[in-house]
Amino acid sequence: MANPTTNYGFVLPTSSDLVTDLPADFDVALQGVDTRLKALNPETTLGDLSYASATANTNTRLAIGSTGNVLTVAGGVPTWAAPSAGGLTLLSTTSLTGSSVTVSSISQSYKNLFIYVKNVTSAAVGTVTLRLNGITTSSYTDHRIYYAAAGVQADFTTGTSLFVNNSNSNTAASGKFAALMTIPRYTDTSLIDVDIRSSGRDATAGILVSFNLGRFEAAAAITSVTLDHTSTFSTGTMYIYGES
Amino acid sequence: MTTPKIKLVNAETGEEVIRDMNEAELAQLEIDKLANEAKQQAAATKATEKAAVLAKLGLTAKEVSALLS
Repeated sequence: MANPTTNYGFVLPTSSDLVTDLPADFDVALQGVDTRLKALNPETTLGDLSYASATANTNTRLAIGSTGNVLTVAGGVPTWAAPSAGGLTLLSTTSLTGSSVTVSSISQSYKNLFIYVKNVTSAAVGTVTLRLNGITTSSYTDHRIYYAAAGVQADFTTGTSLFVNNSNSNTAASGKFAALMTIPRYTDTSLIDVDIRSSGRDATAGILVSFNLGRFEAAAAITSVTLDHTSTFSTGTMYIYGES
Repeated sequence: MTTPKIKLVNAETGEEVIRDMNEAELAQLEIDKLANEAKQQAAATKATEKAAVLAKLGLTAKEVSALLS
């Protein structure tokens, strides 16, 4: 018993061993094989995995993860973890009423903010504007291209809110106001861009389509959004989503 | 005339409050109305001026677009 194998060090009988010693020799040799095999295959349960450890010829058992888990690496070894969240998360659903609707305490845990407003009608023709963090100073700039009864027009104005669109009391599907407002990097504390695409009705009840790349000189991350109406909201819903 | 309402929603807790606008909010609403009327008026004036020029030229907006494209 003096010829350990190269890789695993199994000690096997040699040609000069006495035949009478063979049972005991094989007992030692095979016990060594059994011990090593178990060290290399530590899995105990359906779905378990194993990976090389810092100890030579000894693997570490990784128990099966939970449903939906993905394999990742932490501290230099594999581990199961819940996948990081992606896509959009609905943060708030608010029905529009009165002349002003504010949603505050918006989570700061996302990268981008999406505000979707649909099915809006109002008591009379009026303008819907967007305010951020309740700021009413001249911190907003509209960069608009819009289509109205007079054709395509463009303008650039500084004001105390961002233009979204006009709405009126028309309840036909084509008459309702809708808008999608995107605020990328809404937790930035400097200039914030707000992409506002909307379809509404102008003062003469004609279709008004507006593309407005608005700017807001933010002094703090966006935590609240306000939709104001110069008339009164009759119907409509505002959905706020956070994008990871 | 009824006082315009304001709705306040806390996105974290879901708490909603609907109340009459206070004096400061009413004043802001008036400022917003005037600002929007001024903007609408400016846009309407611009559109009227454009239409007048087109009429002078005897061209439609479509024809001018074709000329400039």
